[in-house]
Amino acid sequence: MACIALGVGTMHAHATKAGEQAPVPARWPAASNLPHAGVTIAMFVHPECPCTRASLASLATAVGDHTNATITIVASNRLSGSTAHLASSVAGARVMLDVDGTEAARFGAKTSGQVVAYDADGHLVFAGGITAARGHIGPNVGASSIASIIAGTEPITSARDVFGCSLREAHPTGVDQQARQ
Amino acid sequence: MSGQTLSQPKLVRSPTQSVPIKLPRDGSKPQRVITHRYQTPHVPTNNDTQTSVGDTRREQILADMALRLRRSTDRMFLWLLLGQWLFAVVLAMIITPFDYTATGRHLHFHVWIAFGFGAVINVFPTILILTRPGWWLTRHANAVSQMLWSGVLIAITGGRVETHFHIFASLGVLALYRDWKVLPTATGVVVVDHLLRGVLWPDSVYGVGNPEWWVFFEHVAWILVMDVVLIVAVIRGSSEMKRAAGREARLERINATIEATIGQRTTELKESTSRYRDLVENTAAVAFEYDVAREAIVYIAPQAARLFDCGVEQLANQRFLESMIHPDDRVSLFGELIARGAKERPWSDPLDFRIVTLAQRIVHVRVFLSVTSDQRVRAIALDVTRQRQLETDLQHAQKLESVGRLAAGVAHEINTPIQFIGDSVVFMASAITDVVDVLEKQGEVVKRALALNPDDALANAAVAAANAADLEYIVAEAPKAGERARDGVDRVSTIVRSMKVFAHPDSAEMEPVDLNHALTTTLTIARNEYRYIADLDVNLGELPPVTCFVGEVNQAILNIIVNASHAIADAHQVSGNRGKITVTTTAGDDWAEISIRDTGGGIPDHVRDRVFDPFFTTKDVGKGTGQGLSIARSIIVDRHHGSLRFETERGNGTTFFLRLPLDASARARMQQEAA
Repeated sequence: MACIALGVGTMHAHATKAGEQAPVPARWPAASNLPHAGVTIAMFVHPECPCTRASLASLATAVGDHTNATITIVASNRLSGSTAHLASSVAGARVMLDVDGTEAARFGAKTSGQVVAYDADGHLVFAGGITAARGHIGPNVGASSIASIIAGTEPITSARDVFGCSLREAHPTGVDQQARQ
Repeated sequence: MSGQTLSQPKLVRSPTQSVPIKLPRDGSKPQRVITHRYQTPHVPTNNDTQTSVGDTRREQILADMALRLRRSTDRMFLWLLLGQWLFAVVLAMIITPFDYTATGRHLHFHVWIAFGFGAVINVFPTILILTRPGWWLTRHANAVSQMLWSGVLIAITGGRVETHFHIFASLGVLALYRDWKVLPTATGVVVVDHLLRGVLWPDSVYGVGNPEWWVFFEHVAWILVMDVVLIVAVIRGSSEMKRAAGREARLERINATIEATIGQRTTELKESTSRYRDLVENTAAVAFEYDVAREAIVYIAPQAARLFDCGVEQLANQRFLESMIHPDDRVSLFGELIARGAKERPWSDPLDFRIVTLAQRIVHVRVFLSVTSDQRVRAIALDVTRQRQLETDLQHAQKLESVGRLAAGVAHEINTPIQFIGDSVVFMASAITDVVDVLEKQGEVVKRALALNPDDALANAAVAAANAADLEYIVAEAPKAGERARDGVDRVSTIVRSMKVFAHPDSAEMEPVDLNHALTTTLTIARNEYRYIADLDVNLGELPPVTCFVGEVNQAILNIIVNASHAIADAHQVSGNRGKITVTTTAGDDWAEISIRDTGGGIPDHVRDRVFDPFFTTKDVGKGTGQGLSIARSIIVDRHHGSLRFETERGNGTTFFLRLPLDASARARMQQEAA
């Protein structure tokens, strides 16, 4: 029973262990190459992180079938397989490569699944993850907040832990450089 | 938790064993129950006992069935747990192969969880399944492990709500145990898991971080609904299993009854077969069966080997048996067999024929036949050779009896003429003596006449006539001849009188008789038996009158004298010497005894106990019937309550002692002594 308790506890600890987060700019960075028009949402993902699929699925659910928001999936490398398929299933989203991690560093994204949302005026309205835990698909506060932002209503929360892999493994140089900047 | 539904621990007493059998609860010794199941069941003797025994047996079978079901389900769970373990590892490798951190790519935590935590979940139930299959704790351990696997799979699949169906599937699989108590255990694990994770980590169980307060109850309610359905199914299944156990117990009882009946019938059949085999194969009669269609002997009792003077193995040879039949009887016998075998017929008149044995003995056989519907002749053959001999002897005895009666009649008829013949002979002998005197004196006259006148013609004629007739010889021998004739007539008269006395029928009551006189008479009758081979020495003592059936006593004495004569003849036929028969009479206080001693060869040891048996004889065929001593014993012992014994010595002869009581009181005493 102790082993079982330990195992469950470890699983819980791993699943709920949040990834690193850095301060997110309160206003849309002018230097960013990401498109910004109206409500703008960007998700930073590691293409090989298993949690990415859960994050993309949650994003797709939150966005729904149609939106006027500008949604960008910033991948540290080329998406493929089911991950690319999930990314394409997010209505209105486009994928941009950020191989050197410049954009991730610019938006303080250190963990795959990090989502930032800005209103039409460029003010930050949400920053964090949209999964309940590592790789967990399903309703959660972060996803609901994104859905609220897209719907033009007040989000439940503006900040949330991010559950995913580290983006630094994909482009350590860029992130570190940005961090150092 | 006590998870025993059907195999509650209890001590039951086997219907067929005196020691109690503990039903296996932990699965450690299930063989005892299974073995017991195939032991010869007890056959109940009344309804109450039958019900009690039936209930006990039903419980045993039910426990056995439940144990086997749970063991098989345990084995299934062993593979299920191992399969889930492998599935979880592979699934984790597919879904979440790697984790990426700042230090690089690593094997994903889910893979480790699937492998390591899966092993932890599996190890305890696996050990129990392998070591204690069927035990209640084993299936409860399986239930706990199975439910934990639901959590693991949910975690690996990223908290997919659909994976929750694993819980329902697991409950269904656990229901295969047909032990409803397993379901609360499994449900308890799920409830505790939902409760704890719902509080500590709701996302992992409900998929949302802030579920509604009633979500826990909703989940639990669905599981309870599932539990209720499964428990109902388990109870129904258990009831059906109980009914099946009852049916099996009834079938066992029926089988036991049938087996007992078959066993009893088999025993009876064996006894009957043994009895009939003893009857058939341990008697002088030879039973056999002959197949008319195949012309083959199907069966023949082994004692036929003695009949044919052959080995038992030769009896199987059809040709051999056929060759045993006397050539003169063969044709008629086969013709009769074929005629009788043509149609079914019950036992009918016997067939008599002869066989010639390997020892060249001619054996007369009488066969009783029965022809069955399948053209088989069942027969019993009897060796009637001895019977044939006895019939011949009986005919001879009857002939002798007729001759004896005839002789008695002749003696009676001779008696009167022999009397006047005797008288005449006496007269003639006396007359001859007188005539001889006259002739002697007349001879003197003739002599004187010739002396006076030698030419006296008449005198010379008288002398010539006397010479011609050998008168001198006649004068010398005629009186002697007369004496011999008188002696002969006396002898004839004595024999005739003796025969009359011997043949005289006894009166209905015993009468006092002079036993010496009776003995003398009998010796006279028997004289012809011994006169040429033995001398007779008679020593008659003073005897008081003996009350007896004198005719029967005479018969007994005669039989023993005849036996003595035959014994002497056999013993002395080579040497030609005459033997001796010594007859002595003595008297005691209340008995008289006749001893008859011969100088024969004595009685051999091996026949001494049988000399008084009816029809036992060592004489050649036609010389004796074997009834002489038997009749003598019957007369002396049975009729007169006397005693008849013998002393014998090989080579020196035999002495028979006939002791008769003098009167009725003495007879009663001797009878009492004999008893």
